[in-house]
Amino acid sequence: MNKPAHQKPARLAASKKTSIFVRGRDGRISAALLNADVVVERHAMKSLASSALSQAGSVKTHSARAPHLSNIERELAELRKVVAALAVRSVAHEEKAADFDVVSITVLDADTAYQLLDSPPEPTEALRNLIALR
Amino acid sequence: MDFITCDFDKLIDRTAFDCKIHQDLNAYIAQHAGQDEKRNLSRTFMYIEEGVLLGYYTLANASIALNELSEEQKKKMPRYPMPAVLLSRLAVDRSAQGKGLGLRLMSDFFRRVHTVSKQSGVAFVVVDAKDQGAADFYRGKLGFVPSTSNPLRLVLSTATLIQAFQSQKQASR
Repeated sequence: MNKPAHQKPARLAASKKTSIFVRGRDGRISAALLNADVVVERHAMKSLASSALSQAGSVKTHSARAPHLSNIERELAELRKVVAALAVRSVAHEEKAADFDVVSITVLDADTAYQLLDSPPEPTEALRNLIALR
Repeated sequence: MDFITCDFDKLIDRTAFDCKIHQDLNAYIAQHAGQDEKRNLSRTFMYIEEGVLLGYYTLANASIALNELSEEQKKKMPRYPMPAVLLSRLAVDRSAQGKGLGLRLMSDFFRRVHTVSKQSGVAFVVVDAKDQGAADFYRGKLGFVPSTSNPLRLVLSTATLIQAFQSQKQASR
C-alpha cells in the first residue's frame, strides 16, 4: 500500500528522438515507445498525459501473479491510444511519399511532336551514310 | 539485321575500359551495367576485339511527355506519354578512338531501334549528349531536335529513321 506522503506527480518525459517514458509514483516505467518520430511522440504524450498513469495517487500496486481486472483494462486503454498515435504517424508518412522526380522526364512541345509524327523530316545525308556503316 | 556488337557479357574484363574523357562512362561499364542488366533497366551492347572491350552503348525504353497542347491537338494527339528508345550511353576505349568506332556503334544502335520498332511502338529516338559538342553533332548532322526539358537530350522521329532504312534497302536492290 502506498502512503500519500510519498506520492509524487507522475513524470512524463520524452526524449527528442525516439522514446517516451511514463513513470508511476512508485518509480516503475509504465510505457515506452521506441523508434517513433515527432508526430507519434506528440500524440502519445498528449494521450498519456491525461491518462490514469499520469495521475498522482491513482495507481495501486498488485501482485504480478494476479493482476487486477481494472489494471488490465487501463493498460489496454493506454495501448489503444498508442496505436491511435501510430496511425497518425502512418498518415504523416504517406503524405511525405508523394514526392515525384520530374527531372528525368523528356518533354517536347506539342507543335514539334505533332510535326515530327505527322510530317517527319527527310533523313539527312549524314544519317543515311551513318546507317550504312558496319 | 547484322550487328557489330554483342550482348552484355559479364565475363569480359570491363575494369580496364577507359574512354579518357568521361570517368562516369568508365565507372558505369565497370560497376553498374551488370546491375542494370540484372534488373532489366537497360541493355548494354559491347564491341569486342580479341577478347578486349573497345566500345559499348546502352539502350533503354523511355517516354516523351508533351506540353502546350492546343485544343485542336488534344483531339488528335494521345493524352499519355509517347514511347521512345533512349541511347543513354555510348563510349569508345582510348585505344580505339579516332578510327570511326563511335559512328559504327551509333549505326549499330540505329539498326537495333529499327528492329525494335517492328515489334513495338517507338515514336521517337532519344539521345543524351554528353556535352554541347555532341549535341551539336546530333542536331546539325543527324537532324535531331532538342527537347524542351533539356538541351542535351535530343529527339529524332522514328519515321525519319525508318525512311532512311527504306531508302537504303531500295538503293541496294
